[in-house]
Amino acid sequence: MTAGPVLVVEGLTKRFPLEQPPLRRLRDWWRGRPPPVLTALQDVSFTVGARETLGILGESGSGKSTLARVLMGLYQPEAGRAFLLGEDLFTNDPKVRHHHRRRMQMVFQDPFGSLDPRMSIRRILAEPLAIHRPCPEAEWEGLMGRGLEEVGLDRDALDRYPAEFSGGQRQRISICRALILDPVLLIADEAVSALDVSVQAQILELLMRLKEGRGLSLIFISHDVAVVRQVADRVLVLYKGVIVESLPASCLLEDATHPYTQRLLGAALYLRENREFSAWEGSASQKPRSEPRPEGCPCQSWCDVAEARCGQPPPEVEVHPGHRVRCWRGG
Amino acid sequence: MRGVATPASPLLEVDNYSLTLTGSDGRLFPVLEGIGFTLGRGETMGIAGESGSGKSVLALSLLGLLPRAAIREQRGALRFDGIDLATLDEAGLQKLRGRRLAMVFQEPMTAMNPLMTLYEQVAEGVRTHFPHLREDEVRQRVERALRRAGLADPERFFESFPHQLSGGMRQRAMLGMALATEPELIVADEPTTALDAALQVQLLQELRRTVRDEGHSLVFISHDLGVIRTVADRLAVLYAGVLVEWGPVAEVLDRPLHPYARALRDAMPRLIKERQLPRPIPGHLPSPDQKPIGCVFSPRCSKAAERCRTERPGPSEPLPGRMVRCHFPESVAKPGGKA
Repeated sequence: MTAGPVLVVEGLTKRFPLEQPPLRRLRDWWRGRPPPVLTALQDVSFTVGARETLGILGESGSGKSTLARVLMGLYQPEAGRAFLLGEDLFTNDPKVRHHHRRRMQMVFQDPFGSLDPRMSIRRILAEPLAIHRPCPEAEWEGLMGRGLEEVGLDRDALDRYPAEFSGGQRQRISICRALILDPVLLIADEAVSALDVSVQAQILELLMRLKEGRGLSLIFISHDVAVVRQVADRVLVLYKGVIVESLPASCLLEDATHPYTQRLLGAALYLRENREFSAWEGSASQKPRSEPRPEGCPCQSWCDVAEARCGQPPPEVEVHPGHRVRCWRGG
Repeated sequence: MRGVATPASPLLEVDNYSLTLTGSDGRLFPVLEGIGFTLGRGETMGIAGESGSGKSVLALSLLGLLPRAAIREQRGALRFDGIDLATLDEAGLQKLRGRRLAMVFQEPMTAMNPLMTLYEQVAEGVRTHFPHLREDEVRQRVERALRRAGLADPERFFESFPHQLSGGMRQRAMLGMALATEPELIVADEPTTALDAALQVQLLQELRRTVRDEGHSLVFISHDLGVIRTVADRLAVLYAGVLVEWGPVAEVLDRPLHPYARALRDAMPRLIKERQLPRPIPGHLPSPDQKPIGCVFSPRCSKAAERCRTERPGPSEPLPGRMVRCHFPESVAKPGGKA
């Protein structure tokens, strides 16, 4: 195992074309205007160290799932580079891409949508083995059985179907499928958000135990501040596709300075700890989706401390070593 | 004066209500057992429990939305302003539902008609229950309801279809649909779970304000105790179809009497405590047709004694205003203690 970072991401940008009525599309074309796009990720850079848990925090629409999908090769980024253990992640070489899939796996949010209902658990778990063939077929059965026991299920689950399992058990099966190829990096995209609190705690405990036991690196994507703070070593805060703040999880509550991070923390403290919190009028979701994003800081429309210069893209400032903020006011 | 109740009596009185459903294979599922609570006008009741605990079934039975063929047996009563909803016929229910009783569903994307504009979705209920209103009066009501649901500039979105609205706006639109007929009782089933914390808090605060100011009564169902504390006056904790604890929300959360209520509270991820994983509750919820003979929580309870496995505890009131179903309620008396 190399001592360097497991994953390095540099300047990742992903844009999606926005749908438009045909007449407007024609008019824009006539006037020579470029078609409108939604920038889901803008110049995103970070690294994930060996055995590190990187938490990615953001509300829906912040680009956190897009990020996971770009890394998994499900979307092509418009710009940016990424390296998994030093090898180019976005290479066009199908052999290298195939190899990357084995080393990087994902657990999805929806325990009901991410397992094929017509496939037995045996087929679900055997599929990655059949594609990547890490070991002779004779060993699959033992591997799958041990995998299920590792996530707290019985071996006889192999002959059952996803419908026979609860949400928490399905998430265990998803985790088992993701780990069966022995990856170095696991991406968990809202992996516990759809679960009840009691089950959520069980799955978090399982994820953390497996991560420690196998020496995995983990990208843990969630909208829940309390959960991210508990599992992550470092936290990135994503808002409208931009990393607005990154800092160690241990000082998230005390040191976070970006107005958006403060906003998230305020809401979480209100819900979890019954602290005062005043409602926020300019919520992003109050606006229709297609509204064009203003130039400059994504927060300027609602930020209490916005100034004239916030109309320009804010610089990234290093407040302390390991703590960066993208805001004109700096730290 | 509506109904037969006096002004002093509660708007909703769930009186020892039990419900048994039949599955397609004829198996019997006792999904609710001896549920009892009251809800006054202008009050909010939070119902908490894991998925499978019966919270949604309770919501559906309050609105008479369960398929009649599936209901095998009902005992006790669901009295709304003196009318028993459990025995009311479909015609009677239709007069109440959407008018005096309304529901806000969990998933606005499936609960709204994708082919209708926002205005039409909300206006439909108003026209159905107030056929004498002129169209401009309907429009006024729709606008007012959406405004009260927290949409700052409703007319701007009148012609939008559900898919053109963001998640938060769809959720507000759902609430607007419920408020448009000015119902006395609103049942909301996890209405904010799909939203982000900041938006969720904003919607919850608005909901609480609307409910208080306009004197609606609200039954608010959620698995998130933090959310319930935001909106509710009282909290009922449901486990495997049994109401294990009921009382003022702050008191129940600060000093739970039932071990399950305590476990549920401790499983919630916290912020100000030192960084540690929330405590999971070992085991899992029993299926409704395989409930234990004694206390329904006994197989998962760390304090279960012999009596808990053989005898189902009845309701008791160890502290004023606090109802619990446990042989050994916490922080009141310990097993073998002073009792």
